[in-house]
Amino acid sequence: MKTILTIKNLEVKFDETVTLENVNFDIKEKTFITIIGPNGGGKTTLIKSILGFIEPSKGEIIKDKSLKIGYVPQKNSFEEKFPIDVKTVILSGILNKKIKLFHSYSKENIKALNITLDKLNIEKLKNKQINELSGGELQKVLLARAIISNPNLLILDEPFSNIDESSTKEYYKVLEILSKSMSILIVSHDIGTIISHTDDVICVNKEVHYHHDNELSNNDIQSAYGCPVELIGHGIPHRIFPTHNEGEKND
Amino acid sequence: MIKLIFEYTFLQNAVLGAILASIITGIIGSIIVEKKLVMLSSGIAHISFGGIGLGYLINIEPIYSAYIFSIVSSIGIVKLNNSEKSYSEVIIGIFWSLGMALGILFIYLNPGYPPDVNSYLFGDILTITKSDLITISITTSITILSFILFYNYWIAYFFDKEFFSVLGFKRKIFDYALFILITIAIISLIKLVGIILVIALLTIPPSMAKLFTKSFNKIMLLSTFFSLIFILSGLYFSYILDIPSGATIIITSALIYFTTLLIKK
Repeated sequence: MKTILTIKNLEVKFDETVTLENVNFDIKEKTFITIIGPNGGGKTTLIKSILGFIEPSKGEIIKDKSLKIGYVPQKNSFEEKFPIDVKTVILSGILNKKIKLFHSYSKENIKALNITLDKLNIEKLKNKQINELSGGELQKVLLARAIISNPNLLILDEPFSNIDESSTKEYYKVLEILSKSMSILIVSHDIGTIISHTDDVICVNKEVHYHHDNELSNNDIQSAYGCPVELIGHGIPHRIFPTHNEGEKND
Repeated sequence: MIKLIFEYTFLQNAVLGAILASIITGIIGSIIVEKKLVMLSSGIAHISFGGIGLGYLINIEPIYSAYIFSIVSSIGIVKLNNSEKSYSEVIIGIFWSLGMALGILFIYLNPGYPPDVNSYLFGDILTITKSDLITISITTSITILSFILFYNYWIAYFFDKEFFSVLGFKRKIFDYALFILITIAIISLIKLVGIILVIALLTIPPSMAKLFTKSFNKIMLLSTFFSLIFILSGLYFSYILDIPSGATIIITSALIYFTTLLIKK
C-alpha cells in the first residue's frame, strides 16, 4: 500500500516544554487509524502538526504529492452561532487557495454537494441554519464539508465529544464506509467502540506508540495514559477514565 | 424638511453621508456583531483620537491622520494577538487608552488656541463637507468591493478560521484585511456620530436586523435599511429640535431597537 504521509523524528516544543518527541510513523492509504491518549498528552498537537498549524522544533513531516486532507475540527474551533446555512458550510470545503474574484460555486460543485448530502443522508438539512442543528447533525455537516473535495486522508479531532450514543454509532458506520476510499485518522476516547472499527492505534502521551493492529492490552493503554486506568463499559461504547487527573489541561 | 434638503447644501451632504454610512454599517456592522468584535471596534474608534490629535499637531486634516494612525494600531493589535479565537482584551484596552492619551497630549502640544475636538468626539452630521463625502464614498466603495469580490472566501473565513487555513489560505492576510476594513469604516463614521458613539451605530442596526432574519446576507441588507432610517430620523429630530445630531441619532436608534425588541419578545 502506498504511503501518503511520513513522520520522522518529530519533536514539538511550546516555550521549552516538550509536548511531543521522537514521533515516527507512516500513514498508508485506506488505513483507519485511531489516536488515543490522556488530555494534555499531545493528541491535538500531533494533528495540528500534520495540518501545518504547528511548526515542529525537530524532525519532519513528509507529505506525498497525492495527499489531500479533509478535516473535521473540535466543536469549539468554529463559530457555531454564525448565521450560515448547511449548504454554504459544506460547499466551503471545495474552496481552494487559488482565489478567484467574484467566485461562485459551479454546477459541478452543486452536484458534488448533492452527492455528499446523499452519502451522509442529510439532504433534509441542506437549507437549515447551522445554529438550528443538533450535535449529531452538526458533526455530519462538518464531515460532509471535509469529504466533499474527495480527500485521501480524513482527520477528525474528537468528533464524538458532544453527540449521543446512537448518533455516534451511525457516525462510525459512515466512517467505516469512507475508510474503503480514504485513510482516516481520528482522535477518540471511545476506545471500546473504536477498536472494532480501526486498523491501527496510535497511543500518544508525549511519546507516540504505533500499534499495527487493533488489539490493545490493558498494559498498552496504561502506558499510553501514563497512569493506571479503568475501562468502564456497559456494553459498547467503553470509555476510558484515567484513575488520577494527570494532564488536566486541554491539549 | 424635504423642501429644505433641496435648498441647503449642508442638508444634502448630510443625507448623502447618511446613505453611504448606512451601507458601511450594513456590511461592517453585521460582521462586528456576528464575529463578536464589538470591544475591539470600540477600541479602534478610541485609538483614532490619537490620530486626530496628531493631525492637529502636524497640521494635516485630522481625519486623514486618524486613518493612518488607526490602521497602524489595528495591524499592531493583530500582530500582538496570541489567541486563536478571540482578541486579547488587555491588548485592546492598552491600545484604546494609549490612543486617547496620545490624542490628549498632541492636542495639548498643539501651538496656539486648543482646537475644538467636540465634532470628532460626538460627531456632527450637519457639518459634513464635500471632502468628507469623498472620503466616505471611497470607504464605502472599498468595503462593497472587498466584500463582493471575495464573498465566498469571507464567509468560509468568518465561520471557521482553522478550516480556512486547512484549505490552504493564508488566514493572517484575511485577519489584516478585516481589521483594515473595520478601521476605515469606523473612521469614516466619526464625522457623523463621533468616536464615543460610533460603536452604537455599528451594532444597533445589525442587532435589530437579527430580530427579523437568520441569514447573514439578509442581516446585512436589513441593517443597511435600519441604519438609514435611524440616521435620517436622528437627523430630522436634531434639526427640528436643534439638539446635537450624533447623540440624537444614537438615542433614536436605541429607542427604536428597544421598542422593537419588546414587541418581538
